[in-house]
Amino acid sequence: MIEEESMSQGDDSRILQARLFVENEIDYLEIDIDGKKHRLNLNDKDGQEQIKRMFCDLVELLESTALSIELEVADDYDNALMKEVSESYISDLNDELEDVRANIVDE
Amino acid sequence: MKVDFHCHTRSFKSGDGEMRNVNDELFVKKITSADVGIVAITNHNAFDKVQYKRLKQGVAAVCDVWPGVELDIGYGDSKRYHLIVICNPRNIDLFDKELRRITSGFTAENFVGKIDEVVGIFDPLDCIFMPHFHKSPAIPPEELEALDSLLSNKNRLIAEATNVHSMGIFVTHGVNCIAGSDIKDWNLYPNMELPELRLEIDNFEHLCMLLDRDAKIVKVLLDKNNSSAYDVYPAKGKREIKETINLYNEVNVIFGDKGTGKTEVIKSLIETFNARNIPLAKYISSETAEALEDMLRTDDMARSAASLGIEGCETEFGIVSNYGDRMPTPISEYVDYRLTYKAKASQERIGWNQMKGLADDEGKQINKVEADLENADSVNDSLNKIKLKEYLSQEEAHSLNQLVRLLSKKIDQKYHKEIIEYQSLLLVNFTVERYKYYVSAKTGNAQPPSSTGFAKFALNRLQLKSALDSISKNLKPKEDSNYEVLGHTGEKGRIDIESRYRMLNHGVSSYKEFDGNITNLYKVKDLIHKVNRLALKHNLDQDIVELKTLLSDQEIISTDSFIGVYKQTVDKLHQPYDPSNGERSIIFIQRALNDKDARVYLLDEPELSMANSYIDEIIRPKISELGKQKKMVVLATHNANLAVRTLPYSTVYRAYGADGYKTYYGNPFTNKLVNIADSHDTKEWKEVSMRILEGGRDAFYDRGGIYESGR
Repeated sequence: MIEEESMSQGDDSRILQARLFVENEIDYLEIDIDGKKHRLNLNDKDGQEQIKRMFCDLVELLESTALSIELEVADDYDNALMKEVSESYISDLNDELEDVRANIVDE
Repeated sequence: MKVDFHCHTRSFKSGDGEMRNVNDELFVKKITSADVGIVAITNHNAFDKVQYKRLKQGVAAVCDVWPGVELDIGYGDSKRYHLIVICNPRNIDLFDKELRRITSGFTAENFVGKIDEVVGIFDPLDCIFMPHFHKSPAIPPEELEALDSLLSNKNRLIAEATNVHSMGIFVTHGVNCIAGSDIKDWNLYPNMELPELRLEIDNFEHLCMLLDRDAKIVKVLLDKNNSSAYDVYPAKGKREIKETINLYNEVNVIFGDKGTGKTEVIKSLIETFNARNIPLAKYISSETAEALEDMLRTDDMARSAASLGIEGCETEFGIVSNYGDRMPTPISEYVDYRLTYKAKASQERIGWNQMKGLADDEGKQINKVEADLENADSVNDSLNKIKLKEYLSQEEAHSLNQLVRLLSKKIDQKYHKEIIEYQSLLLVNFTVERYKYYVSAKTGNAQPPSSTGFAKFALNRLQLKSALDSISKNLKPKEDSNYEVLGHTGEKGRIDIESRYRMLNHGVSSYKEFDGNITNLYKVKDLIHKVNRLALKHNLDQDIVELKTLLSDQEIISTDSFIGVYKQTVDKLHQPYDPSNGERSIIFIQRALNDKDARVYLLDEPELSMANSYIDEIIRPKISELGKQKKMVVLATHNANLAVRTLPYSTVYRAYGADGYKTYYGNPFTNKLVNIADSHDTKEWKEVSMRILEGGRDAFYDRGGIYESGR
């Protein structure tokens, strides 16, 4: 079952949910940041502006708490390539969220 | 040199009182402390030669003592006036003998002389005659005329005024006049302000020659002071019209009718002394408004964050001006990599696709430690300025120094460690990237993305926000003022110049406070706040671009640009106050006359916008004092109190008539003004000064009565 709401992970850390699914034959990775859903089109060659929007919300939230993202794959989703891509992407993003939070705390 | 030509040393008449008797010791003490250069002993109707000789010897080192007497002279129906007779000390024996003879058979109490007899006896003995003038018992005008007609040399007649003030008024109006202490109680000596001779005389003969206006002796006495010749240009813009005048390190006066170029003479002297780098103080009455305007210029006020105790934020402005978003890695790079990735055992073994660069803070940590290192150095420098042993024991001072040195050393060590670590990190990241590149090239696989780009993007935005936070904090309204005394006016008291530094503040700042366009500064400030609010938002792009453009166009690189500077005059309560013309004049003449560093004082018509009493009671004594200090004072004036009562060493008289402009030069001591271009063309100093300065003899006598009645 896909959890759409972000979950609390202790006082200083929160877990956000990311969801991989297909809609109209387009693969989407959707990240939920406090109810604001950022849908990234995995078939788009560019899409940086959409990622920027998401990054901005992440930075704002990161200022007040540590964050990590949990990937949920839709039950009916079967694109193995995009699963790998999403896992790899979310993994990298979590590493970076940790680095940036550490930097904020240092400051 | 101070003189006292009316001094009692013994009580001869019943009305004298015992306190007029002075012993040798008190006489020496009082004369020395009063700094009197010449004393004439003038007791009532008697002369004590023995005492005279003792007293003269007692003060020989500091003062000359001349013999004299104050005689009762009868006239009309039992009326009397007092006449002081001062004799050349060379003739003391004859003086003593003749006085005894004329008073023989009388006591000092009941002696009354006849003027023709007195003059007949003392005139041949080289004497000066000083009747009481407007001083009780005073000589009436007809007796004054009689006395004048009896004297072989009319220059030996000097009127004796009540005090120095009255004397000044009479002198200003052409009467040979002096005042003496007429001391009644030696404990109070000098009981009044004593007159001063402008020229330092050495003996009785010098005084007589001065009274005779002997040009040779006047020159000798004047030349005891340094003087130099100066070229002056009385016609504005016409350098071909030049006069050469001699100016003394004393008071020099320029007078003449309006429009005869007096101001231009002063201005050309200003140029001359400025060119020679001679420190001067100047006062041009017609230019006080400009002078104040100059003083209120803000050129000397540095727009500096330090003036408000805030940060300049140069680094932060640099961050904003160079800002650009770090773009995220497109997800397509992850897709491409996965699409092209061909797993090979060797690659898996090496795990190249798993290789990541290390988190890069872009040298932030190094900068932080470097700042700490600078702070530690600063602490060390500050500590070196304190004399520790005045506050701490040797052991405490040693411990403190050791701790500070240890702190510096540890920070330095950390700094070097951070540099090594950061360089290692860069090397690792470079190696990872190159390795991926070579593997990618070799295998035909797409290069694995090194990151999502979030860290770089986020840190970049956070750095921008931090910079804008810092700038915004330092742009908060703040002001500070310094106050410098401009001068003192009578009623309003002290007037200060307020130099105010004020951070740009909506609705408060004035355009005058800024060199540039205040509207643009407001725009930049507003935009800084706006961009700060948007620093972590997606819709930042347009505003940051506009801000960067404005910062570049306005050449803003620090908070300095937002600091307004302003000067204004304020009263003692620091409320804005514009001094009136008169107050401005008083302030600037004071400033000029109180300039202790100046060697030359050039003053143009100081009397304008000032009350005559202020000129006579404040300005004139100050000018005379500067003259005594051997400072050169050149004064263009129409005011008699200044031109006459300062007894200028030199006088330049500018005249205009049918045959054009003429320049006369002279002094009041010889009573002569000589045309510089024609030595045969001379004028009487006294006549000219009375005409130019006071409007003629009649006016003088009218005013004389007014002045006196006020006292």
